[in-house]
Amino acid sequence: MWGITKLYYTILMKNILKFGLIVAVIIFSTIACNDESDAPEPIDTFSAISGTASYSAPVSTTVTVTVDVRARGLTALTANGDAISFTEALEQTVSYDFTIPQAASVGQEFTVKFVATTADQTDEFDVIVKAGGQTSNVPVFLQLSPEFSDVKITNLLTSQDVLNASPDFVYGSMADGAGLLANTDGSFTLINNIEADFSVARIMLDENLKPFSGEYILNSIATGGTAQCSGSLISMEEHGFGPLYLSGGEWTRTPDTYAPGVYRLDPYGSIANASTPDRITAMGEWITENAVAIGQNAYSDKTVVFIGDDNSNNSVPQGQLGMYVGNKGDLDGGKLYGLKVTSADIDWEVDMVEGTEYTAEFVELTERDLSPLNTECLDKGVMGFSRLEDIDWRRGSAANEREIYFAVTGREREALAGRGTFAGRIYRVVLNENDPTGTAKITCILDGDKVGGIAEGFHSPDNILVTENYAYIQEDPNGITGKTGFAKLYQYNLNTGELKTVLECDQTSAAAAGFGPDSRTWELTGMIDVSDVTGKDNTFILITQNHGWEPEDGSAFTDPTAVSDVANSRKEGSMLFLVEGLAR
Amino acid sequence: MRLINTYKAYLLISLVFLFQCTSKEAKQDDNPFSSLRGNYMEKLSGIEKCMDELIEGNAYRKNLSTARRLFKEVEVVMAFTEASDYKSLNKPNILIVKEEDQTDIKIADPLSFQVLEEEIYAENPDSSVVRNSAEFIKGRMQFLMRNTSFSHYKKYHFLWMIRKGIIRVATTGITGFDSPVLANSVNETKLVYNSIDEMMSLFSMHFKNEELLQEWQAEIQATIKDLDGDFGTFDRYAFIKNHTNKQIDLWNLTVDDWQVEFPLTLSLNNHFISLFSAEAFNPVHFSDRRADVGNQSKIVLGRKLFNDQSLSKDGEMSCATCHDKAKAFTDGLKLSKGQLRNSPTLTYAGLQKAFFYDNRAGSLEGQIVSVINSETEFHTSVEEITKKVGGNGEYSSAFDSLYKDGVTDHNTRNAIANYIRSLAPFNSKFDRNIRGEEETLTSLEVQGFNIFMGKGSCATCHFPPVFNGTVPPEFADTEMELIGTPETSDNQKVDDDPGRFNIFKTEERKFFFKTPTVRNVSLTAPYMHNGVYESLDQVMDFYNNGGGAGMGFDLPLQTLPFDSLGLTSDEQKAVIAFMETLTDQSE
Repeated sequence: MWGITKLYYTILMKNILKFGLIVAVIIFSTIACNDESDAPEPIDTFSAISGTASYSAPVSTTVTVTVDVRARGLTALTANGDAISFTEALEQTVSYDFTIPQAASVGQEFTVKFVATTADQTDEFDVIVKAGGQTSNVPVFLQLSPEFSDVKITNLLTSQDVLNASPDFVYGSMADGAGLLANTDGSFTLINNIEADFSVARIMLDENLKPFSGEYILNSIATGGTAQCSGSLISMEEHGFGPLYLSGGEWTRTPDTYAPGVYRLDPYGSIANASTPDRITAMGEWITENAVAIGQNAYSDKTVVFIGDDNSNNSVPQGQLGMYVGNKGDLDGGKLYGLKVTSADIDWEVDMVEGTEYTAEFVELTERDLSPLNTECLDKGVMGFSRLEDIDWRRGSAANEREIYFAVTGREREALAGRGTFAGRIYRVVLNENDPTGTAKITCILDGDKVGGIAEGFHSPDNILVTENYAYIQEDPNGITGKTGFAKLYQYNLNTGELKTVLECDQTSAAAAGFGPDSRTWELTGMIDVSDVTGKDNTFILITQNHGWEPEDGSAFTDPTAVSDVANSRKEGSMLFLVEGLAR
Repeated sequence: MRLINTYKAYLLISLVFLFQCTSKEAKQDDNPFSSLRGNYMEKLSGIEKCMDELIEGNAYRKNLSTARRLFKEVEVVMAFTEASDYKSLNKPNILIVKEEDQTDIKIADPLSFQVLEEEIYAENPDSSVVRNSAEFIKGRMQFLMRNTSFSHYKKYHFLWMIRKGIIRVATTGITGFDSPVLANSVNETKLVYNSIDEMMSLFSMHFKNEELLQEWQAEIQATIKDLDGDFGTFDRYAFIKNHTNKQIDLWNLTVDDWQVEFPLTLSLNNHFISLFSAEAFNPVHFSDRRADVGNQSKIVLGRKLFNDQSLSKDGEMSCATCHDKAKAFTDGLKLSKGQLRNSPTLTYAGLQKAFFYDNRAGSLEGQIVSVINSETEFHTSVEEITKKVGGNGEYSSAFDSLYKDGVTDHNTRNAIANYIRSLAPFNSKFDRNIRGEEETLTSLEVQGFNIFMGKGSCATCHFPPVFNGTVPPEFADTEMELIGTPETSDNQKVDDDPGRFNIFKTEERKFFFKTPTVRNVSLTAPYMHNGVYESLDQVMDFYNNGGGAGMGFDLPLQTLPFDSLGLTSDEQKAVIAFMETLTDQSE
């Protein structure tokens, strides 16, 4: 109430001896906050009350706009032409209910025009009401480490929330890879893979990154039930062309019957095309976790895309790191390669010890179909990792953009001992300065199996985000012997090699509050740095896949426009967070 | 004729579509792949149209029939260009369970032509079931039309495509695997051969020897003529012997004629004469890159280790204790000593992609670790074994000469595994006959093979040529089934061993066991995972009665048909006679 008091006081002091009309505006709402920064300048005459007070609320909600009126001999008072009852008092507070239309678009502004009339004067005052987004009421079940207690986390959207502008939209099961675009009108578009619904969602966010509406731009019919795992954006700013969104088609609803590979989407494409996918043949039919184009400064005339192969073979690790190289902006006409470690005596990924740099090269691959491509990789000695997952590249300079980081989630099998990682690893590949296909260097920078090592706490690192100075590593615990706790987010300092735990999923509180059993470990995923896109430094988006959290009524957190057979869909929910105050 | 009219009806749509697609596909006017693609797209579009009709609820049987014909006509191309899609669209109507990890288990109903067939021919088809599968199939057609690229294919891909098609027909096509309700497989196979004929014509420019192309055409026509049989009586033995073998011969000649070099070897070797032979299989596909399968010295070393009792904790057990060569590497016991399950044969064990009755190991080398660690088996550790082997001068010098890093845990297991992989001689009476090396099969034995491959449905799980659960023609997976094996031979209740369930506690996987080979079955009694049956007569009786569910056990997820196979006792005897021809000759 401080703002209102102050405003009223100002008005009172400046106009105390004047006659006529004085209108001051104040706004109340039970739903969202007032935007106080735009309080009207103090005025000398009543007619100077030209409020810029703006106000944001979701569509279909009724905003009670309240104004103070100071007038002698008021003869009429209206808001948007509707009469408002008034008294003869010198000062009075009146209000008007305005409902933001359901059909309003994000950020659309509506005017509530107050008109006050006395015998000889008329004054008008406009209040702007914006169609804005909304955040979730679900608590944040992420426990920050003490060192990171200043970080602010907001729960933006969960599967149980209804977005007023698209009330039928359901934020589905196992939300995963994401990319954020700034729109010309100040709003934002979030492209978000919904892995277990085999689909991709597009969520509109308002200028403050509050979700406004959602829809599906790729559905499970299109993907044939192929899970859309991680994804990445190609943008004009970072890549010199775009925007395009690449999505990793990985596992499927049916075993061994999938259409894996790299899917390409137009982030602004019509939902009428949600059933007609576009898969990039040239990038190979790997069991794709993610496909990531590195920055345009890495090589002046080439577009280079890395592909992570989440092959989960039980005896021979064969998740490969694929690389597509095409002319700048060409995602179809280039060549395909696989990473081969050439240092002596490195037969298996675990032969590479933490912290030691090895030599690698990229061998050209000519097959494209799943099985022949995998066989060609094995024949040509392409290094096999035990489930190669997410990939990212370092920001900040051309040299940085040639630094690739990837997570290998690992798999615990007796037959994989001495071959593939169990608890997970993080690798760095430094590409050749002049030619992406030239000799490269590879280092395992974090080894979750190393007893007493700094990454000893790792339990299946799965997703990775790399900024200029840090790698943010997100876990998807696979149930590895000896590992405890829930999924964690780690911050790895690329300059000092220090590893810190930023937060851990708090499933104990979540279970107590009815958000799934704590026996089903959640996955942390989808973390992207949105600082540059939003112009707000140290701002990130983060997602949890809340395994085991299902609607109490036995229904499913599934949008029928994503998966038409809702009854047989994955039921569990996901949550989308805004994280502010993490270093980049 | 009806088929041709159908094509005309779809031509317009197809043309429009092809036109739209040209931007994605590089220009390849002189490339036969371009025409191949054109034909393929036209048929996919036809299937899509039928699915639209099914979604609308129109003329179920007619549209399914048209779509199935088109599906058969694209089988050879689709199963090669998009193997996983083909497999998915051809899925049996059995709940799909994928157990990736303790925390990652996926369960789904199939959406496929077989689901459509079962539903549409049910008494009261459920339109929502039909719609679900039809929408899925329609979506896949749209996907394939938009995303199938032929631009990276070379001549060798085409030849792979053709041979894979021929082998699919012989190993699953003619068994009724994909047409369980209509039993229309034999008839439908003609469509596959028509498509092969068409494909060979498209690639005719590659033939230097024109007679070879004519031979192909004559052989395909002869094949189609012979496919004029009824499903129940069709002579599969003659088909494979006279046609499949002949086609593989022609294929080999074509490889030479076209001067094709294969840069890769997939599951099957690029050159072999008979599918029923060891030379057909690429050992690398069934082991791993560094296994060095076939190295005789390693096999000999492995045999010694296999028979060495000193490696176990108490010095009383070797691998041979439960895997006696004289009994085709089983032990003749109901349950092996101290074990919960019957000792499986090790012959042809290498030609699998998963090991143990519950598929819990992914390789022979991995499988051996569990036996070493098991308290009721070797009860020791890989470290102990490695120490013992390393401490034996004879072994350690052998390892030093054969392996660059000498005695290691992995090398020890690899030697044993290589020995086991060598136990697949393909020299049984049946093999020799189907390869045409001799003519000694009796008519009863041939009849038995034909029942095994047809009316008896045996081959829909025990796939030729290994007659185990490794699914041809990819040989990428080894399947498990729920058949409801009883606890005792009086067939009163299901055996309480939950099988695969123990691995991840997946309810939908309760009582699932791997399909073993029936090769050498005359030496491997007693039968089933619990050794419940002493004779093959009992086994045949069990299957003929519809397995556990057929005998009244409550097993809704049984993967074997619940109803009786309807085999007469003579027919059952014939199947047994056939199986007894699968006994390898001792060396």
